[in-house]
Amino acid sequence: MKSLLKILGSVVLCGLLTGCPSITLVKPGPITLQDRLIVEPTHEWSLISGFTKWDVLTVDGARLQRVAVLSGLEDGEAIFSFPQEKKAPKFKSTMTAVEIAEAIKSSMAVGDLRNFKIINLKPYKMGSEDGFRFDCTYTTKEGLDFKCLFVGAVYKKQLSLIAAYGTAVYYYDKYSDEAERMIKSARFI
Amino acid sequence: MRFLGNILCTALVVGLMSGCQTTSGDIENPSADQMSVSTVQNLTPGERPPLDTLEGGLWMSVEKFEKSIKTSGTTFKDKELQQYVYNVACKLAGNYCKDIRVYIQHLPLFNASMYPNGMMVVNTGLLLRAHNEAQMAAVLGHEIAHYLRRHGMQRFRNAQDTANAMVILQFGLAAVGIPGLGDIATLIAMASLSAYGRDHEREADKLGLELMAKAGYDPREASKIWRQLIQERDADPENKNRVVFFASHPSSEERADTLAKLADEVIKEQGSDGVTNQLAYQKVIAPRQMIFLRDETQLRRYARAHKMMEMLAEVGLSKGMLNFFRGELHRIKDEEADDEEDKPNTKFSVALEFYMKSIVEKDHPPEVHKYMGLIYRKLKKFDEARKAFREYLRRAPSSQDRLMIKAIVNRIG
Repeated sequence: MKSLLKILGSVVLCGLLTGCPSITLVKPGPITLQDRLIVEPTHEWSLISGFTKWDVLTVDGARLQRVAVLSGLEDGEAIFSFPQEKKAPKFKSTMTAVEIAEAIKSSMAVGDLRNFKIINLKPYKMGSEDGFRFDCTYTTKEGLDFKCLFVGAVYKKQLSLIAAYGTAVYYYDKYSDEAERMIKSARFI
Repeated sequence: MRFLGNILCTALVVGLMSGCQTTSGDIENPSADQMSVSTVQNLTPGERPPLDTLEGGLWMSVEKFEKSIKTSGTTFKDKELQQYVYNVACKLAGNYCKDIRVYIQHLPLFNASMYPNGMMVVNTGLLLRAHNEAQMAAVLGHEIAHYLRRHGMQRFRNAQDTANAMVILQFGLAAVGIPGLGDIATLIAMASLSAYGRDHEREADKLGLELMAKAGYDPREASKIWRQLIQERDADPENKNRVVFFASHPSSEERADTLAKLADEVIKEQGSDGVTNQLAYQKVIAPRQMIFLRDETQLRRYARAHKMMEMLAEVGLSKGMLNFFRGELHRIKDEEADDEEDKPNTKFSVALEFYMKSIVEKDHPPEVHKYMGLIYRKLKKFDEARKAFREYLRRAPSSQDRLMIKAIVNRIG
């Protein structure tokens, strides 16, 4: 009984705090992610948040396809989280799009994805900010081929990124139009 | 839970099976000296243990792992390189050539491993660090020795015996009311496994050296590659306090000394010192060097990578390429340095020095100009930045980031 109360207490406490891991259903319409970025999905998505620094939207499962959002990354912070012994590339607000794209690629390599290819890095307006976008491909450690797309901008010295991922066969193409719509709808608060 | 248990079990089996072995002269019939360390007979060429034996079962487990390696995303898909490494392994293995398969893994750390069923895994980090074919052959020979002497099987048996002894010891300690000492028992067991591993490593070093000499390579290169690794390790300040108690290999210094002595003996016996095939090796590695060196910079082990590149420069590898990547190490380090560590007057100066050394070489990569441009832009030297970016675009007109670079140039004005 005591342990049940402890569990219930933890759940209540977790519910009161922001950043607790959660999976919720997101309806079509504007949603605010990471308190800084608004995007508008036109379908229902599952929103997975609080597990990493990225919020993840998925329909068929995050291992097959996902749109991931990171916003408000401060100077000196790593773009992706890794165990302490691995040296993760850090974001600096003085970086150009070329250097941010390379930091993303290096982060993938630190995560043992050594065949991450950046395709057609070019300028792009994210919200109303000057940013960048690029397509990409990679193969997982298990040998599954993925396609991906990254869009990003540095706003008020903080990095925001939206990334769409999906298996090269079927899932990426299935959601690419919806991902593009979401990216186009992005605006900073 | 059962699924997790199966995975852990397979991982343990596969981990224990990547081991080593030795023989001199006739590798199918080990000498008495070799048998003093390992009491099992070598496999005969083409031999496969019966499925109803422990060894046959272990082979089956590894075969499953081999299937996953074949389709793994970390496999370096380069048929020419794969064939080259295989040919060297084949030369070393002699009659066992058909029993060995080589898989190259796109991983920047120095490593190679051999599994009991003849599967050999070689990291790209090893291929980058070897200065010539003889050095690569020294490592491959060592790994083939593990296979020939069935070290994987022996390690598994030892682990099994140790685990059984552990259970008895734990029960005994618990029975006398001192369960806490179970931790000490674990420590003793681990130490015993570790020591067993070191014996195998010594045996494989000896047989590996004999195999490389028999294949016509200069056996002195075996100790040289270990000394290179020692220098690289010692350059890394984070590595100085490494705890060596549980290391499964003899200390690198001891290993290098022993290999040097053995090499002198073999050369005396053979009356010739063999070849290094440095030019043939560099011809194969040079086109892949850009990829391998980029992998090293991405690891952010600045001191080690810098030392490794310094040594590669000494043996004549492209100075244009090596100086570019030495510059890259400094650029990334300075870029990511914490603000309190920033030294505005000297920031990026070492990176620029290496880039300048790179661009005087005919074979420097076009990317040098891009990174020089990015640094000049940060230092607000806009004329130099424009000039560098334009040179990059001239030399790499179809690069994947050309539109972004053009946009940066336009913003500079």
